[in-house]
Amino acid sequence: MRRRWERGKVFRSVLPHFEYVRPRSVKDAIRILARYRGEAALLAGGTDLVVRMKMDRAAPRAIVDIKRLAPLGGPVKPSGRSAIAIPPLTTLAEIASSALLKRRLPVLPATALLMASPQVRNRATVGGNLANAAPSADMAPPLMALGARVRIHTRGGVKTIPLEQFFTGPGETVLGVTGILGTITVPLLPRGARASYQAYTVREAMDLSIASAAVRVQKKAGKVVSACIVLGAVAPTPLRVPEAEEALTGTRGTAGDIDAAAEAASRASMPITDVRATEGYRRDIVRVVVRRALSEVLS
Amino acid sequence: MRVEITLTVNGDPYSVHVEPNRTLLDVLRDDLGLTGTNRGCNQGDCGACTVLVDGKAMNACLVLAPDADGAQITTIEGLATGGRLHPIQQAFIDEGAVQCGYCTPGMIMTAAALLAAHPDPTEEQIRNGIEGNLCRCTGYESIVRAVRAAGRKP
Repeated sequence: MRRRWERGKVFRSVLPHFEYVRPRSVKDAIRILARYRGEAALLAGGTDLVVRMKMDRAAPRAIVDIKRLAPLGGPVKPSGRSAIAIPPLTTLAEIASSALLKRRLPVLPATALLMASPQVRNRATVGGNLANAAPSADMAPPLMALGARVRIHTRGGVKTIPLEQFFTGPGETVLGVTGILGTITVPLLPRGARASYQAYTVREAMDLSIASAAVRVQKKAGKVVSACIVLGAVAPTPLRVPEAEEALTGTRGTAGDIDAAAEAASRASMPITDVRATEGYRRDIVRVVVRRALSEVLS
Repeated sequence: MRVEITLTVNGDPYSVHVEPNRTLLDVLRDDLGLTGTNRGCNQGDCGACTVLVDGKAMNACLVLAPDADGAQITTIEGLATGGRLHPIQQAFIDEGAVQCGYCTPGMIMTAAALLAAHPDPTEEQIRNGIEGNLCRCTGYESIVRAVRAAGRKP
């Protein structure tokens, strides 16, 4: 049953048929993904997958519900003395309300609260946000700027890689067809370091960013000793901009230094024109969000 | 292939055989006849289908039916207790916060979840709290007033 939707998009009020599978373990889930050779989809919160299916952009033969797999869930908790472990099934609402994150890495709860709506945040997971790999995924830039590492469950075993190496293109990651994203480990901020995420949207709810920027800046004796700047929604993947980081490092972080870094970030961005904004406007907005983020952490 | 799910809706246990491609919204409306939960955009944008799943507001149109197995669901039909309206329902009437009424059940369920978490919410908390619910009559001012009024009640 199909009916026409706005601008020629097909909208399904009834989802296509699929097999619903609940794996017993992460290994079991990987085996099932392999058996379906790319025609199975993982289900966590479902807030992207179910919408994509209704939009006729996904029609998996099987849906593998990983929500009840214990190794992918559980509470946000300290990992050693200098990091926090975030299970991939943590919902955005849980990120937003985590007392530990609010105290130690407040940029993450603040980012989660910017996203979607309360109803969606109660279901959507941080792992889903990363693994769906939308160029505009809001959790990616701040996690990357903080130096997060992610565990990857594959047929060959488990490995841990920097989140920076996770994304390979729009909707594509190193997970490929059979990989599953595991725990996200985020280092605590070193002394003198602060972080911020600024996203520019037209509406405050249920909207994707036109451009966004996450920054982590460490100062010692009045000088910027390290900076990490990551842009969202202006490249095929979340984009780290070393040009902007170099422009800022070694400076005192004055308004002029911030402008120079924002300019460098804008030049390094690779935006596209789409329904939300033109390429040129996105470049302008990159300058704005980088300036806002740096001003917040350097004030 | 149909799967059997059991769920508790408004305190009553149900066992339903469903095709996995049905959503919780389909089950509530078509299998259980609980048509108070409205289907609006059917893609998670409008909030008209908001129900409480294990106490949390969610869009029923985005929850696959098998995924609701074992859940405790509260719909607009289950909000009144012992023949008395929930304070937020009464406040919507008192403040004239209902115009065409289509968004009202979802709006009320979202507000009920908000009030459970913040018994006396500020205006900012209310506006942020209902950001996932669209009212096409644009009657937001009276809706915000109703949530404030319900919050002030002891």
